[in-house]
Amino acid sequence: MKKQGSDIREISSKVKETAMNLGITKVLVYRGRKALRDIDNNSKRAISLSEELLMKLLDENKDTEYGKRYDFAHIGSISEYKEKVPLSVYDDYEPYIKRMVEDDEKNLLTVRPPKHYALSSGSVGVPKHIPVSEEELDIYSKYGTGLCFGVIDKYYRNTTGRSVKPGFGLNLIELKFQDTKHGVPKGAISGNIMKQVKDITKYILTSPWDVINPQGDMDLKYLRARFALEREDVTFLVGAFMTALVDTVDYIRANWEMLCKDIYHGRIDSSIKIPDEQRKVFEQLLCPSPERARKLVKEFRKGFDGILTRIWPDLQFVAGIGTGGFFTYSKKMRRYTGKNIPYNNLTYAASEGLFAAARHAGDTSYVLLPEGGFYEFIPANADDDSTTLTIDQLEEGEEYEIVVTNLSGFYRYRIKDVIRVTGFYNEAPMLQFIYRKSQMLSIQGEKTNEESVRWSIEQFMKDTKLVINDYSVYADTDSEPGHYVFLMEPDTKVPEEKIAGYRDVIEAKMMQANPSYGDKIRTGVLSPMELIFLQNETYQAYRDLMIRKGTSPNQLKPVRVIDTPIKKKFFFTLRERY
Amino acid sequence: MSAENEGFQISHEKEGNRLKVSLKGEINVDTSREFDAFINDNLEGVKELEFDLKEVDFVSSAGLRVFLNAQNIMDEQGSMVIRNMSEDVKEVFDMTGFSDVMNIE
Repeated sequence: MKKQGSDIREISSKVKETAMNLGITKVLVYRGRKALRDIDNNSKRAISLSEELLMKLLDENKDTEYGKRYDFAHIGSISEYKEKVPLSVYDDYEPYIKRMVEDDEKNLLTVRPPKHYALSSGSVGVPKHIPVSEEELDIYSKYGTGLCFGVIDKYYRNTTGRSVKPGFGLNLIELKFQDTKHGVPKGAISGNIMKQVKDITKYILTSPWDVINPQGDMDLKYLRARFALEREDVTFLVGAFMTALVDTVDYIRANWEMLCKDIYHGRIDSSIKIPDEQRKVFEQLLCPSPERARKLVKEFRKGFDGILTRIWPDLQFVAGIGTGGFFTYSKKMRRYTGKNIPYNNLTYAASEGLFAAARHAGDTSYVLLPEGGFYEFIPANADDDSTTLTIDQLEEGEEYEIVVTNLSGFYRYRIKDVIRVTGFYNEAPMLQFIYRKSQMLSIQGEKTNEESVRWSIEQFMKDTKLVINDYSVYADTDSEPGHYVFLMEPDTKVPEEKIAGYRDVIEAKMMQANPSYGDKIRTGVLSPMELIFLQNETYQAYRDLMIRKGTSPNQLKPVRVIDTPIKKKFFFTLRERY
Repeated sequence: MSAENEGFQISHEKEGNRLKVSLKGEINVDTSREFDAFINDNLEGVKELEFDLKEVDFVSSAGLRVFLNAQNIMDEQGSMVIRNMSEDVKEVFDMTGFSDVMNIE
């Protein structure tokens, strides 16, 4: 009788899980469709919405300390706003933010109280605290998480006539934050949003809540892989960046035998780092699944090309930023998913706001969201960087530094990102992130940006057929004249005798990508480039070390420019041996 | 197995909850797989883990990751120390910053 009772409870729990999963999927799709409609409608009147938003923000905040200082009350147009309010950087807000964080002072920058502080790396090691209002969080919730399901639903309805199937998602976005002494959460914004739906994550994500929101140090790579692999009904994979997704599949590739043994026996290997109490909690969630383990072993033994659709036959999409400098990771992920799974590049966002979103599956350009802030643009090549343009003045193909007035108390704020306008979606510009102004290489005024380097590497890979896992560039000014050092981690060791030829290829590509660099090489103003191949797993070792030292995986971006002595020592030490 | 990997050896002595692991040869991208598997299979119940690297002449990026994995495990269950590194190997740990997060004697 006991056995029968337990069986009934198990069936009842399974029925509830299935029903909840179906219901949540429907809600996500509904919210996603609504977000899509809003993008479409708002993009049709992006110019007027933009101005209306600015005027609303100025009116709301005219009695704040910042508003009084710059006389918001008497600003009646965009041109007056530009005249009266200066362009700003974080340091301009730092004294106000310090008073907000430490003394809980109100009405300094905005009447909208901060509901969160996003932490971003500061220039001198003290993290920047970026205030985030409730309205800003709503934008993140709507476009950062909700929109994705609308985009994928549209993709499947267009291609198969059916909507998104219900199922579970492997989530790699880490929820890691603490509170200020006045009880305001601080950390990654995505964590705050996830926390709001804590009670339902178990019906839509593969990881238990204690893996999504880990207390104490534990082996999250194992746990995420373990809980996802034991299910066959995984339909989506989501991470902040494509790097995290690739790292997870690489982890599975290296450890599938242990993972399968554990799934077979319904246990967690004793070598896996988990606090004892937590281990007991996780083990109660597991039961032996010999049949699933056997299936997995069979598929893993066939190799890892296209593995994800073989172990998860209902896999429907991959979501994570894989554009621009992440392209090597997107290529690698393609090998794991096969070519038929749509990718969603999510959003173009920073701690200071969510500015644009991918409107279609596979889009590498993002549609600017006029309700996310008021935007101005400084032409990237302008000598005068105090003159800004508005969205109605932008031209397709041109590059601009983006300046934002956000929903959380930053006014005419230079986030130092340069974007390219790739077209227009109705009135709203579509844009691609090109480079961080602080990440530009310029030894002799040649101004090589991240995009030029990315293009050169992409062309290099095409010409040489080498697979490059990751890459960085260093501007060496110790020698005269200075020169660039390209560092690349190939998939397999490159024979020494081929290095000189490969150097010539990447040099030629770089000269083509940045004609100013080419001129300086031809005239001897710069010395020829140096090419260094790195040992396999160097970039993974760097990420492992950064995580060990406390960096959130959500904030680990590729190292494109070697711009600190610490990075230089790390990467130059791990060059391939010959 | 390539010539670089032929000499790789792992030997260990266990006394109670103390494990001493002596490594020999190169810990490169190939041999680190064996090393990682050894770590995953042998740390259960270990409270003191000691690595002797006297006969190790090279540690690659992949090898560093295995030591970091071991350190992560031992943080939960005891202590870990790495001893007798050659100057070349010590330099790799120092220059990369891995020695900041490990106990090296």
